[in-house]
Amino acid sequence: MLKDILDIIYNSRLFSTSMISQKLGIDEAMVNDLINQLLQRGYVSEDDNDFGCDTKKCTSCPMSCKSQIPIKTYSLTEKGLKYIKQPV
Amino acid sequence: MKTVALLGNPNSGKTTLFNGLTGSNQKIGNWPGVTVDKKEGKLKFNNEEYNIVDLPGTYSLGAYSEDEIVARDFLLNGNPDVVISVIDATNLERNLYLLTQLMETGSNVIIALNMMDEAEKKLMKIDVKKLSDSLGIPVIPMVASKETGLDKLKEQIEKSSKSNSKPNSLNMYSEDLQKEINDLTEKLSNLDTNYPSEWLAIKALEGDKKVLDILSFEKNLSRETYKHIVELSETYELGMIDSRYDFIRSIVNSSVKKPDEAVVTLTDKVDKIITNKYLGIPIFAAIMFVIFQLTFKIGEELLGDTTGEFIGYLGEKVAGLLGNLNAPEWLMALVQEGFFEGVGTVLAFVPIIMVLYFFLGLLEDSGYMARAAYVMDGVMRSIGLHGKTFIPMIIGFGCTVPAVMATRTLDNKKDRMIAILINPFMSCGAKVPIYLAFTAAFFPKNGGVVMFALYAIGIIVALIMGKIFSSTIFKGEESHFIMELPPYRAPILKYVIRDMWDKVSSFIKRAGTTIFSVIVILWILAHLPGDVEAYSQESILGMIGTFIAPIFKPAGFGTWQAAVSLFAGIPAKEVVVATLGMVYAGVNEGSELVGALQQHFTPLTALSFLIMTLLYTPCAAALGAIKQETGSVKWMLFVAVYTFVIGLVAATLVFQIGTLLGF
Repeated sequence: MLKDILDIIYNSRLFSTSMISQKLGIDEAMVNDLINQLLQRGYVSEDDNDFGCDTKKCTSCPMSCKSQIPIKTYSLTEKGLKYIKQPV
Repeated sequence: MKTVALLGNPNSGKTTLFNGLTGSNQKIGNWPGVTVDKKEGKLKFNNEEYNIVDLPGTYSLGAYSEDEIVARDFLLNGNPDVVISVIDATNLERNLYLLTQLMETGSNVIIALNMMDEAEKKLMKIDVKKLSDSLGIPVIPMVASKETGLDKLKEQIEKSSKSNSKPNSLNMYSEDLQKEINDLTEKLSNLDTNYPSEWLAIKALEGDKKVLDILSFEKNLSRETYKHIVELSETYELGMIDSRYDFIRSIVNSSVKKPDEAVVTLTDKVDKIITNKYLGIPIFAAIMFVIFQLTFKIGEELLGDTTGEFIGYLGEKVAGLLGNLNAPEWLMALVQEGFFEGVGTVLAFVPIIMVLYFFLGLLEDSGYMARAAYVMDGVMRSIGLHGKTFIPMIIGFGCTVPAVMATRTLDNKKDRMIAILINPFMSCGAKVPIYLAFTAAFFPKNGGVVMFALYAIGIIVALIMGKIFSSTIFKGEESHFIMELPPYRAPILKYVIRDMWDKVSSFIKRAGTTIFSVIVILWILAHLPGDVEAYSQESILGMIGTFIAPIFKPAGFGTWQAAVSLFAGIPAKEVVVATLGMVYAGVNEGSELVGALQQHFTPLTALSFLIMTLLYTPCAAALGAIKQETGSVKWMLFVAVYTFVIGLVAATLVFQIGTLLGF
């Protein structure tokens, strides 16, 4: 299942937990757990699209970065890429 | 006294069960060496006393948090007689993952299958006997919050604590994996550690960092064997975890019946349309168009010019007060022209800006922005840019400074450079007052259309320039990233209003600090040297403007006032409007900016001026960020100059083509 999720990340451009849960026939909570396993083990990295806001320069920024639903992207790490390309 | 440990996921009802078993007979301490709470209590049942230990709530027994390490060390070294695995019946798969790891510790386990009432409400049918048989563990269905099943659990505790039975071997792993586990178990059997060798073997194969650390310091393990174990862990890590999940799926499939849910959620249905290859962009454009239209409708028609009138009224009152106090004339002029006519002009747009931020907040809080980023990502990729480039661009709608910093998410330096170079074309929040002033003067009926067009032109110019840069200094590289689409939700008004207020208050604060400071300097320059008329072409400000103005002549706004305002906009974009307010107020005291603009611009020159302000040199803070992020003054100067040239060329084209067409 973890390989399936890596495959989805490799081949898709977007996902929602509900989409993966339908595709793999597993619960959404489990999808989250599996993604966490991949994150913890360094196969996937969660891109921090927010860190630009942690700076003093932004005090004058009229746009708040405290978004309730931040845009989240994940990338396949070298470890993940190596795993996915290895023969089954 | 026998010891019973409680283990479970957070929110599995473990604490409720702990309270149910121990009543008020509890004490709270700390686990040695860590800051994790240790809760213990006593249970008396059938003349027997049990020490109940509430282990920290955790999802697994890995080595990724203190909670996990505390829990597993207690299970392996604390010698509990019985371990109750508290499982949320509504979330069986996730909870069973922890159970599989608990079983690997060789503990004497009872399952407290909690929240059965919730599972029934969800029409889940759990065959408790089948579950118990397939796991080889007693399962007690219960509702801890209502103490249902509590007595049966106590009876089972008594029974299990006497039998000291261990779970059956589960055949969780494939033949290959099991062979590796057996081989490694044998290799690790003579180690001097507190952990069972089979457990060490399993954890080592799944790449558990703490176990690998222990093995690295183990004297009875050769370096070669250790290296081999590390290699094995790299090969089998994911396979080990996958085996557990496969095992869980097979258990759940055989013992649980779930209702045939309508698997396609509403969010998915909506997303199919909204993220559609062909419809995505038009929908995004339509949403933004409606937002701008609504902003003008509500902002102007409902709120009108009340703020402007209030600022004018306040200005008169303050002038009267200063007059009564016999304040020097220069001070009165500075306050009236600099503050009220200059900064006040910017502040007059606060209501419209508030409405705009409110609608953008609604959009953000509904989960749509991720979809917008996704559809634009497609456009970026199709022209050979890195998809992630659009995320900084979305941030750029607020402010270029964090947008430039957000380009750090692009790993490749060339991708980053392009993202930085094209970001200043986005319509940041500070440019909005300029748009509002000119639309109020020339396009009052089509404010929404003009705003929409400006935002769209900004994106289009950024894409064109991105394409040019990518085909000259950047070659496409494969990237593997994926965007998470969060479920849609009804925006929470409290958050939307709080966010709107944060943005508006920071806008007002900026007007009172940065913008006012620049205006004071410009006011002084407009009044020097003392022997010429203020705001005349002979003043220092007038001379600077007159010197620059010819550059803008082909674009149709070659007046010294327009030139000065664009020049003054470099410290901060809002200053463009503040400067125009001040210089025109100085010439024709008391007149409003809108009236002054109508006298000095035509609709066509207004349009070309708007294009110029949209595209030309970013503000000083943004240039500072560009210097910091590129680490180069040269790139900063390049951005300052090339954006200016692009702005001027575009504005000139608008003016010249418009003139040719007879506008």
